[in-house]
Amino acid sequence: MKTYCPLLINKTPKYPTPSAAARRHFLRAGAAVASLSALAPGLSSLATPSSQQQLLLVPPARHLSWLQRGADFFSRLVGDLSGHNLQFSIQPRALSECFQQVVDGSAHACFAYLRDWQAEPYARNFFAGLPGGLNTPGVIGWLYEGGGLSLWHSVCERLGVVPMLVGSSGMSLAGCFQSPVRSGDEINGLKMRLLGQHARRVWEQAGGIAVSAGEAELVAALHEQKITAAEPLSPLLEDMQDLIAAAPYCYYPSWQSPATTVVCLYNRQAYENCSDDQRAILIAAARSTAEKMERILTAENAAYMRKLQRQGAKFERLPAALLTKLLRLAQSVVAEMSRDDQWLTQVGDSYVDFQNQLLHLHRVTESAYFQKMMLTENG
Amino acid sequence: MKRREFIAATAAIAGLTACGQDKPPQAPQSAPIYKWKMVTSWPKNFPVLGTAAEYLAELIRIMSAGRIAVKVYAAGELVPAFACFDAVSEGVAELAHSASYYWKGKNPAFQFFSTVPFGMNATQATAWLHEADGLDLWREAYAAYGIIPMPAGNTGIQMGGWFNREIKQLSDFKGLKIRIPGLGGDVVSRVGATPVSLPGGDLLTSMQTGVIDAVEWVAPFPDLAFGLHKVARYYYYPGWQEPGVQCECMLSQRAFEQLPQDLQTVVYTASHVAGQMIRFDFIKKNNQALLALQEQHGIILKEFPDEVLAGLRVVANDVIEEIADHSELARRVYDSYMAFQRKTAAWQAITEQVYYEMLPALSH
Repeated sequence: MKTYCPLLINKTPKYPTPSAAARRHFLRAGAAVASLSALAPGLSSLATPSSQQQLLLVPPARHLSWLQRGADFFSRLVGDLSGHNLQFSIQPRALSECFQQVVDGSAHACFAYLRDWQAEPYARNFFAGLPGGLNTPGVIGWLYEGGGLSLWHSVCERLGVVPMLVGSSGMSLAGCFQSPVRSGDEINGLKMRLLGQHARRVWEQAGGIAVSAGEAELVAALHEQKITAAEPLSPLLEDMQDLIAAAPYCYYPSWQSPATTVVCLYNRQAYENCSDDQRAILIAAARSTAEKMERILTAENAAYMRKLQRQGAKFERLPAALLTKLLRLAQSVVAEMSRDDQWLTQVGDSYVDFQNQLLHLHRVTESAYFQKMMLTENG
Repeated sequence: MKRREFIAATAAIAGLTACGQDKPPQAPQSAPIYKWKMVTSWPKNFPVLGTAAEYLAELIRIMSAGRIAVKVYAAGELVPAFACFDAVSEGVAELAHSASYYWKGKNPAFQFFSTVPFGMNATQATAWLHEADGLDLWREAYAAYGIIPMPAGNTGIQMGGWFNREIKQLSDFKGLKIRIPGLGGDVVSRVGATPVSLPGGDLLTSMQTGVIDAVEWVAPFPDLAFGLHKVARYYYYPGWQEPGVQCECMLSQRAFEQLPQDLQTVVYTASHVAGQMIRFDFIKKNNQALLALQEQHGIILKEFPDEVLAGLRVVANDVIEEIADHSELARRVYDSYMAFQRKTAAWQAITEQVYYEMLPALSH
């Protein structure tokens, strides 16, 4: 089996399987150990011994290589870290079933875009990625440093799941269009398949028509002119080849969501059945996977982009006036979504406060880097 | 930092509540316990970098169910700040938390694994290490010393430094004694400044006593913690010299080989995860510190003029190319680094770059 750690020295593990007596000893010692309750407040503080568990991980059945690679990486890493005491079996499911199976306990975990949990809009909103929202470093910073994580756990606890961030789209494309968009007026009446409910609202307020075409018929819908533009399902350009072939004008930036999150939702009871070290392993593996998913995009997308350009794809920036309009509308839509809900207001305030704080710092760091320092493709 | 404070701080990082009791997790009786020492280049309890090293040790302990116990030593406690590399190489410690540009005397090529002037940011550098051949080259570079390098966090883009003289043109660097390590130091020396390498704990005194005239340390939060705003008026950006210092966890090859495979993966992954603490802890704390520096301490924030940055870039290119001429390995590292930076630029330009250009429109 291929291992995750590139440093591994192939040899038989020296660590023996603990005897029953050793496990009892560890159980007693573990009982004195604090739980990982900050991760999932309210969890039992009783540590159980590390034991072998066969686990079921259910990603969506649709073939998106980026998600599949992430799920494989996460699964393999958890196995390696736990000495294969935690061993995932990956069995793809229909999208709607992925989440439900984790909630009802027929699967231990799913690995999917949080935005796709249609049955639980309350759980996804700010954590799934928002129009004009935080980018990947911002989302991670908000979750782990800005108080976002405890808010996320508070709602997921009620739903019987433990959420772990395992990836983010980062900035990607706004969409693939069949014709060029030279001004904001050209989106009036333009039928576009958009994925997020808030993005759809923004698009319609801007004059477009948001369509919810199914994934399977997306490319066909473009060919049949039922829609003339579509938001990509994946940020990895390798996954977009068919889409771009049908709609070659690739517009950026992704105003709809600078960071669409991928999550591993873990059944809470299954999580509680893990020992402290196993829970730490799951969390560490999730964090490593999130970075891995980002690295794939950084390392590979430029090459795919060149390849697609050779095949006729055109990468263009949205007209400035249109982008500004969409971002302004996004702000009001995001403000509306939490207006009448105390809990959402609390989450929204936390999110927006963190975003505003970052703007100040980014002016002297990231913005300055990209404007003044970044090496271009031609040197 | 008291243990309880540390636990509270670190728990928030990964969503882990570290074991808060005095009694740590116990390993099964039949399992060997590995007792390791970790030396660092950071002062005792130094915010972010020092606490990240402590957190790494804690994470290894939790993930290994107590089978690895790591004791952390601040700079000077077991070995001096700049002796970490030798300490691991010679078996004094099993781990070290530091940055590779401190060891440029061993081989100038090591500097590519921390940061180079006008080089890659954290996102790109991390991708180079893991998705291209950056980490393989790094391992090859350290192998002769019996050290395995592991990426352990990135500071993000730093600041340009503290000055008491305005930098309006390149010639304004002339005659300045600047604390600036690594390749940035080589660059400023060619425009007439004298680079000085000093550990963090010596910076304030060195500025007060005139040992140095200007200082580049890290970013607003650690700079504020050291009180650098008390000894200089102008705070410059961007940090052209360090667009994101990759921290390292150096691991003794011999100690690593003693571990079973699952613990090898635990150490490697913990280094990774603890490293994320550095990047995101800095984001939050730097922002708060920058506001405090401006609003409470009245520092003057200055951007290096385009002409100065352009001049520094020309010199930096020469300096970096000369390192590539140092050895066959250095040439390969240079070629790999530069190729990856160019290769990924097109996608960065239409994604992250545009995001940061959008920022004014995102303000609520």
